Amino acid sequence: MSAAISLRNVVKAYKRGKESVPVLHGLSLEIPAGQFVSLMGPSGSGKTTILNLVGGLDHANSGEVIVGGEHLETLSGGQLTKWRAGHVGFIFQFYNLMPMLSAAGNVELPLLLTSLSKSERARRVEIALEIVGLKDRASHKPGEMSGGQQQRVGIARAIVADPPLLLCDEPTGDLDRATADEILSLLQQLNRQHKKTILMVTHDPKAADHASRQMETDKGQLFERALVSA
Amino acid sequence: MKYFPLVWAAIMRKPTRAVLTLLSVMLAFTLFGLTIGMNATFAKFKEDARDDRMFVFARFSGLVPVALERQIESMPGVEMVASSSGIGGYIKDPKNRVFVQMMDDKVAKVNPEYPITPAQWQMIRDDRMGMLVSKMQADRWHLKPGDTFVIASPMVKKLDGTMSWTFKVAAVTPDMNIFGQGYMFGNFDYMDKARTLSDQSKTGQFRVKVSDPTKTAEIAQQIEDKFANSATPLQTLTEKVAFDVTANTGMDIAAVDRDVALAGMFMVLFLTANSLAQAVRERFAEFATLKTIGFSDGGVIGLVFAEAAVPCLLGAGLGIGLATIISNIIPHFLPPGQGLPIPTMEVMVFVWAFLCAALVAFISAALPALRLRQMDIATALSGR
Repeated sequence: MSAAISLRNVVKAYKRGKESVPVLHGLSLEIPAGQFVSLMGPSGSGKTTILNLVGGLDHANSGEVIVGGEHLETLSGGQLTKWRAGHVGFIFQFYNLMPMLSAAGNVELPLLLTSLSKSERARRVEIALEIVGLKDRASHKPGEMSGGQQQRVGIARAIVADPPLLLCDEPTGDLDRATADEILSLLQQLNRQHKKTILMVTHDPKAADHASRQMETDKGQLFERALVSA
Repeated sequence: MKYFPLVWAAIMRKPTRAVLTLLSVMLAFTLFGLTIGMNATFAKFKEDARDDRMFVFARFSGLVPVALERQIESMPGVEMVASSSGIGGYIKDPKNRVFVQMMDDKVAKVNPEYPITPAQWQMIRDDRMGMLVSKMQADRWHLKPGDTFVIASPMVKKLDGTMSWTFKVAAVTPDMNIFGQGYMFGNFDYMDKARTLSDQSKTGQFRVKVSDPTKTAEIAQQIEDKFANSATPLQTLTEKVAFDVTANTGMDIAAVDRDVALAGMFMVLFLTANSLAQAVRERFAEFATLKTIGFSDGGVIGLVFAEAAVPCLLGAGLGIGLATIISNIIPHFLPPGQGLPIPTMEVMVFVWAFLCAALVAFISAALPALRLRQMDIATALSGR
């Protein structure tokens, strides 16, 4: 299986005033295509930093970040933006939906960047909403939906352009246990049935259990966790 | 066009703010339209004014003996002199103010540009109570040829002790730019013979036409000099000066108008810039999300510019529309024939308004756009 994500000797430090705070110290990671990987660890251990680097939202200070065969460290800001639009779907803890747009309007956003016709965009939005089980809520605005439904809209938005990679930052962090399980099952379904590679950051060990591979960051290093269930 | 729902949703996120911003922009552009339209009127007055004519009237107010007409006409360089005077009053109710310019026979020759045919002039010569009413005034008072009506004039008393002046509409004539509220022309002789003896054979002003336009100022000075020590010292005013609002008032009214319009634009600029900056600040994380899912810097900045442009352009359109309506309505509430300027909503006023609206939108959006361009997505998403 080829590597969907490959991080090699990645170093990342943040500036806090005059001080430089190191987060990743020569971190390496290989994630083959089609894996569902959970990333756990204490706050400040670098989980979100890894997600941002893999998603092309941030640059490493040194090392290589290769995603889908693309060396992200060589791409400019504009190139990264284009690359993200076609290759990565993002799922956020607080959904990050546009409150004035309907569910369909939110899901359509990534498709506005394509040259698809209006009818084709509508067809794909309908499919995405159907996959997440919200076809009948297409015209509802985020404020009219529960947290779980909003996260499903967020997932539909992430998959509507059919990217091979999904990056999830605490996707169940704002949901109750039952709803969180539904969302995690949906992610599993996307991984198994739609062959999406998923990298999920979470604090929740039960959420991590839904992944096929579990990893943990601590003090800028990465460790494999023993698999409890998949 | 596919991005419009996104722009519209952003604008309507706070409907009250959106509506108030739109109303403010609309009112500022109404003011802009009226002031710039007024400048267009002043420019047109100046352009239409002729070099070879002047007005002559009493230096210290009051009426001028008609007998002076012949003396002025006999002066070298003077081609023709006409008399005109006015009856100001009202129809039925004091609030229905009107003003009739009573013209002698020669006005038709001194002012040949008036859109009145010789036959129509002849009508008010043949019928002393005859009146030529411009279309605007005819519409306002529901007058048609043959109608008779009375103007009460407390200022111009009649010989019989009354103040009622009866007129009969001889013809309805086209309107003129110079009389923005329309006009009413009557027969000078009718007025002169019917008013009190002390005011008879006197006129409000002479209209003097000279044969050589280059000598108008010189002849004007000669007229003033000639009558300086008479019982009725005269003052002259060339038509160019009379219709040049700057020369006439000693103030650069056009510049004042421009300043007022500019102040309105600054008000709009501060308002829209502030609203937009606030809107962008509130939605910083949303813009970060858009950039995360693939919207380019240019795309996000384009959305912000569109968000600024919609209220500015829409407000400008509505404001200029309102200014057009107001400038069409104003004449109906002013007495006719006094040459009070009415804003001219010509094409250039619309062009200027839309250019200014676009500029205001651009400047308003510039700073928020710059902030979005410099946005660090990861930081913005984390809410730090």
